[in-house]
Amino acid sequence: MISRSKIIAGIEIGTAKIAVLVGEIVDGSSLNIIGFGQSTSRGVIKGGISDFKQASDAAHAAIHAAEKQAGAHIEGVYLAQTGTHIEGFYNEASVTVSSPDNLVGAADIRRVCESAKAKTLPDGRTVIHHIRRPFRVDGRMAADPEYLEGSKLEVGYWTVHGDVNKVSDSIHIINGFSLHVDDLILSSLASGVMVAGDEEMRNGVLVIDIGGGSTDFVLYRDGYVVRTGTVPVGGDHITNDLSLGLRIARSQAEAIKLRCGKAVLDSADKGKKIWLNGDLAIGDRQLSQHGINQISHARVDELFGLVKKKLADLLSPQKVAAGVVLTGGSARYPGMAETAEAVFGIPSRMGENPSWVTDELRGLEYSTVLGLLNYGLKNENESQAGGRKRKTGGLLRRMTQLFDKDR
Amino acid sequence: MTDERQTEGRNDYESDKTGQSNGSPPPGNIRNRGIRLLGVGGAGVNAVERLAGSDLGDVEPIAVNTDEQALSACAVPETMLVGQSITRGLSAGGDPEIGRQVAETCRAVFDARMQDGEVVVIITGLGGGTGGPVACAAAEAANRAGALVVAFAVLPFSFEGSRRQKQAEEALVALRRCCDAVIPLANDLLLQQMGEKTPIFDVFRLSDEWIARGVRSLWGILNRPGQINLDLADLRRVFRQKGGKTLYGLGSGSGERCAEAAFKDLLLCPLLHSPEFSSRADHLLVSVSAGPEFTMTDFHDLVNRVRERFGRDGHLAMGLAVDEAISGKIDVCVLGSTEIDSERSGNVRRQSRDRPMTPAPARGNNAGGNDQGGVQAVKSRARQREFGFEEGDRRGFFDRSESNVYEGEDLDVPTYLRRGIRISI
Repeated sequence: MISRSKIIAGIEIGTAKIAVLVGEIVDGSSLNIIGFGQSTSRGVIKGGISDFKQASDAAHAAIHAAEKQAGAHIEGVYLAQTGTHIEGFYNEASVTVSSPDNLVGAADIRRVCESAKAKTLPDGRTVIHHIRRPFRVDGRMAADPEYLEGSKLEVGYWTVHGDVNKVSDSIHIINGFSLHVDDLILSSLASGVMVAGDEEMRNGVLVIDIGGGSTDFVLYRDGYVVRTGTVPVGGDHITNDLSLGLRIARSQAEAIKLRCGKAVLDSADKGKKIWLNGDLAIGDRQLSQHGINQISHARVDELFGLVKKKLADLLSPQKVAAGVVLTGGSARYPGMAETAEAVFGIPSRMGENPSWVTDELRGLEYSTVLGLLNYGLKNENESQAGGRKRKTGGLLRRMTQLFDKDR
Repeated sequence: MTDERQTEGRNDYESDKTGQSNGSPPPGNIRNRGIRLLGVGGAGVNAVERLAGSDLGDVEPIAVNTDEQALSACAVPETMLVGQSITRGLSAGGDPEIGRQVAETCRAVFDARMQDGEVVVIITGLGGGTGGPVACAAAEAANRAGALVVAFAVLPFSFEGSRRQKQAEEALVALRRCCDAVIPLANDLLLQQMGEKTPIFDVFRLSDEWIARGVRSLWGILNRPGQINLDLADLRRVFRQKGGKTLYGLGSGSGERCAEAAFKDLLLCPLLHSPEFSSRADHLLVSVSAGPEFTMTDFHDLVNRVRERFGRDGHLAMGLAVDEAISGKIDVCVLGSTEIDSERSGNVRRQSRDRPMTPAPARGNNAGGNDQGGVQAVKSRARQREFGFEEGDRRGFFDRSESNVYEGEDLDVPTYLRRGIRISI
């Protein structure tokens, strides 16, 4: 039998970098990563595209490099979405089970799902994901309620929606390279599946992806997504704060951030001085390590505080038993996990990409692109085995399927 | 230079008053130019009161407020109670709408009082009721009388709440439109200069100190004959267009390599490192006062470094005054302005003389006052972007992106500033 393969790409247009990962899906079941391209992002600020031309050029350079390395043409793209314009709401619906013997039927399930998703969006907004929470039959949680007995079937959806223009901006960049966007994936969902395991998602885990210009988070419980969100603050803000606070140029601030930045206050650093350039040339001066710590701690502390505020009472050590996992390029900033732990009061740690990932892609900044390919694989998998499933087709339906674990 | 000649006639009034101020006494035939120091609103009056007590040289302090009680307790000799018909001698209660009504009623009073005078310095606190609108009315009156108007605007602490912040920002935009130069002093920034145990009085002292040094520098430029002289005409040239950002920095150094120390001190000046600060100025004015041992090489070197750091390729005026009294020490004051659009500036200048400036709708916070729609406005915005991006504007690096306000706080402004955390540097 001849194996069928499809070449897909995961593309993340980030504030710091644009990453393109090309994978080959063989028989819809196994994934080989065959190409990788990366470029320094331009025209993107805080996760949003501010200069279409520049962003487009940078993205095309990365796509070109990735295709070249892969030696193949990309057939479909999974595109990450982030930015302040993305919002979400939670909507629930319930139906009375229709059959006289109180057994939940397929029609009931369809009815309840449709009515939970039926909320209309304001003008100019488009749905990115409908993320389903588990069904409940008479209040009991059920992964698959079909043939269960009960009189009331309930379900809730966390609907993620974004600004039509901004979403289409990013799609147009990909289309501009004559590529087709198969699906849009929220960045946090992509990186979440890479750094959190199934067991952790069941016990409750908060994944925070700290990027260059924005921070995305996703909270899982019982194996389902509970909430997602974006805070428009990232590593760039630390650089900017350092530049203003230490009164140094932006490029110097970036170098200092990478060289000796630290997000925790450490009494051992109180009197410590570090050289600005370290070259002992004219213009070099000493900076206080404590000052650097103060500036970055204030920013990072506030960032986690904002995440905490947005999640409000969804967050507690009991509800998030598997703790907080940090990923994204800026998560490597020293002291992040300590600060997160202090803010959330929940054990926090740095994430790790799965062990099968090559060394080149082990860095936390690649969690999102890796996650995109992972979704691509699942998606192809499901469409190949599609006959068995109830399938209504269409982009919307497929997107929801990605997040339905069993359906 | 035309401005100079135009205003020449009016100023005999000041000449006989002011001969005996500090610094080297001017030769007999040169008259001193006084600075009218106007404190508007509660914060402004307090600042003027404190300043009037210090050695400021020749200034004519005036306290303007709606609050009768506060004014009567004030030590400034000349006070102006405004808006009696509206507030009945009470304060504006932090309501800018009341402030605007008061401003309407006192235009005539200001016009009468601002008849003469070449330089008017307005000190006001923004974010409350009286400060912004009444300061604007005073500035407009001074403008009509042909004076150069420089305003020091104290911005509220972040902890005073988002409403006051917003009012302050709106008032700042309005003030920029009617003053030649507006120097914002963010209170948040002051905290950075303090030790953690500094008493509250000293915090405000420090703010006064920035203003006092500024006023003293202005006074020096106007009155002290320098080896390389600067005068009112130079100031006018630097601030020839309204609505732009003002760059203002001070540095001082002493000891053997005082020029270098002064430049370093200037680079560390907190006023140049607020998110407000616009990094490059189209017009620069560097005023140096130094002891007698200061060398030409040092001066040359210093001016070049300032130009490299703060200037665009545009215009730079420099002044040097040698003062025996400050031997072994040097003070640098840098003033600068960004133009909204240099190609258009001549045009705008003419228009603004012919008729009162049309108030442009506030376009974000970096709106210049002179945008008058159409193709020109588009052009000007394009140019503003071009240089706004270089190193930042109001919100530093993030100026071009969408504003990032969450629950009334602008997340792009450094957290430590908003939280009032003092950074050890």
